[in-house]
Amino acid sequence: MNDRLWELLANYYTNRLTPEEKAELERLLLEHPDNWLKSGLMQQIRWELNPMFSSERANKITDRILKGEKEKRAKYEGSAFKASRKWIAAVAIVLLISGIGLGIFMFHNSLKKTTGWQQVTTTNGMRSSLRLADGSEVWLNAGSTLRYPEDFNKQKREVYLTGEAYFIIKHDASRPFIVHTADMNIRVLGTEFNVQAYPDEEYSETSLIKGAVEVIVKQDGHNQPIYLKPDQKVIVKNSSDQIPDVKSREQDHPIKPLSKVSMNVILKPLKTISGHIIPETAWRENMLVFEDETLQSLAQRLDRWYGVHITIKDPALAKQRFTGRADNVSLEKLLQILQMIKPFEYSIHGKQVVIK
Amino acid sequence: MPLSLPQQIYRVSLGDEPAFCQIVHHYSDRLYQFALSIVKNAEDAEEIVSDVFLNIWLLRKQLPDSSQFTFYLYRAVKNTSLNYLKKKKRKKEAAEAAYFLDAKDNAQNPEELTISQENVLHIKQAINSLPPRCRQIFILVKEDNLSYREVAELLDISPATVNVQMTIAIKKMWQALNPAHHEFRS
Repeated sequence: MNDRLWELLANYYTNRLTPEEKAELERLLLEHPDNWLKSGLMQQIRWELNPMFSSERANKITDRILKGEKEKRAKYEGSAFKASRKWIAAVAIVLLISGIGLGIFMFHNSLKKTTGWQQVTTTNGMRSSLRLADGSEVWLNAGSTLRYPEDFNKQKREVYLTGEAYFIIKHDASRPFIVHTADMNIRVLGTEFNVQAYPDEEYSETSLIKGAVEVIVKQDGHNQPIYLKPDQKVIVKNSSDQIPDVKSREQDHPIKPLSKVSMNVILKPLKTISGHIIPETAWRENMLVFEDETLQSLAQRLDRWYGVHITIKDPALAKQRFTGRADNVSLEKLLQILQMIKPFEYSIHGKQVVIK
Repeated sequence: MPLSLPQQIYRVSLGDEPAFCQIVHHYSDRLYQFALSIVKNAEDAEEIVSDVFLNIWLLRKQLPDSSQFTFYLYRAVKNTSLNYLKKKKRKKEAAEAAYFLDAKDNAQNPEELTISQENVLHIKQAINSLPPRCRQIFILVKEDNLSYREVAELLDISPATVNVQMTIAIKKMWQALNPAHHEFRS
């Protein structure tokens, strides 16, 4: 008897037999009277793993995980509370200092003084928030610079941004607030919005959360302002020629645009995940959200987020897409989570991270 | 009443703790034995299983579909185990599954053909005398319902090898069965 019978039986036994194979098996079984009986007997056997792992040990695992999670959550809520108190204290100091003419405030960031202008810079791995002279608040993401005047003039309020920031602008109908970036000017009266304008990303974007903004694209043929409604964003292909060879998130994963304004500009609705999280602004809550994003593009963001430099050795892996969310986790933990989605190896030496 | 796997996964995704406990109880033994076959150290294997379930809980909103879930768990255990070996600078040895199987008569209906105790014993001895790797493949295919391709990926072998090993396992069981030793329950 050749092995084909057992090969087919193995497939039969585990329910993965094609109709052709089934006919073949029936033919083989008919060749010998005992075979039918034997195959019937085989089906009668139920296997059980000899247990090695007691249910107490399984309970220990679930206890540790579920209890640990609760403690972490309590701790996290505690620290968020502390952070906000610290922030209120910081604001109070700002008001005090600006009263005596300094008008600046340092919040774990470097502050450079030029005549009449202030500049706040966050390095990679660092984030910051500040309050401007008019009471507007700015949250600055990693690797970003905001230049703003010590005091705003009577006609308008103007700031300059590279990188990413979330603005909560104090309403002042008589003085529009303008954010200048390399490719866009965003003009507002009083509102909340997120601006992403990293020079090394292929696209810049402005996402509106509340109120209304007017975006002027600083490229040829774009004289008409674009008016954004809440939960919309405008994406602009950067004009800069010094774009590295990295595909952006937007290009990787084009969602149907609300409308295409021109070759380089599109308007899109904001999407929420898990019901309430807006990926564009999740960074403010220490949440790293990635959706169908290539490892290459994610690595670029992780560089800024954790202040590291990630090199991906395997080009196929760089194109691999990941979806997930990491709330307040260490780089190593995040890499371990990504490894579960797609296996890879990594090594961390100081600020250099190599993925292969 | 235990929930079906898709129900369990759905409940876990909503943060349901009892459903999570059910999943841990169902899988911890087999995953532990699989981890043990790679790291060869009981303490490490237990920690690996615990790590994987922690990540399952943290990532509960993005769990794979139930048809992929078992494979996803095994793959997570494999990757975590390999990381452990790397961290401890130990080499991966030829994997050897320590686990053994118990055979039981599955007849539920009294009129069904019943397998004799003698045959149950023979078949059990046959499976447990298989080379460990062969037995491991049999368990992953038969008990965890993984495809040949999935088993191949987990064990770093080809699907053809999985087929060969499965054929060997079935042949061994087949030969251990004595068709004279059966009875009809009446």
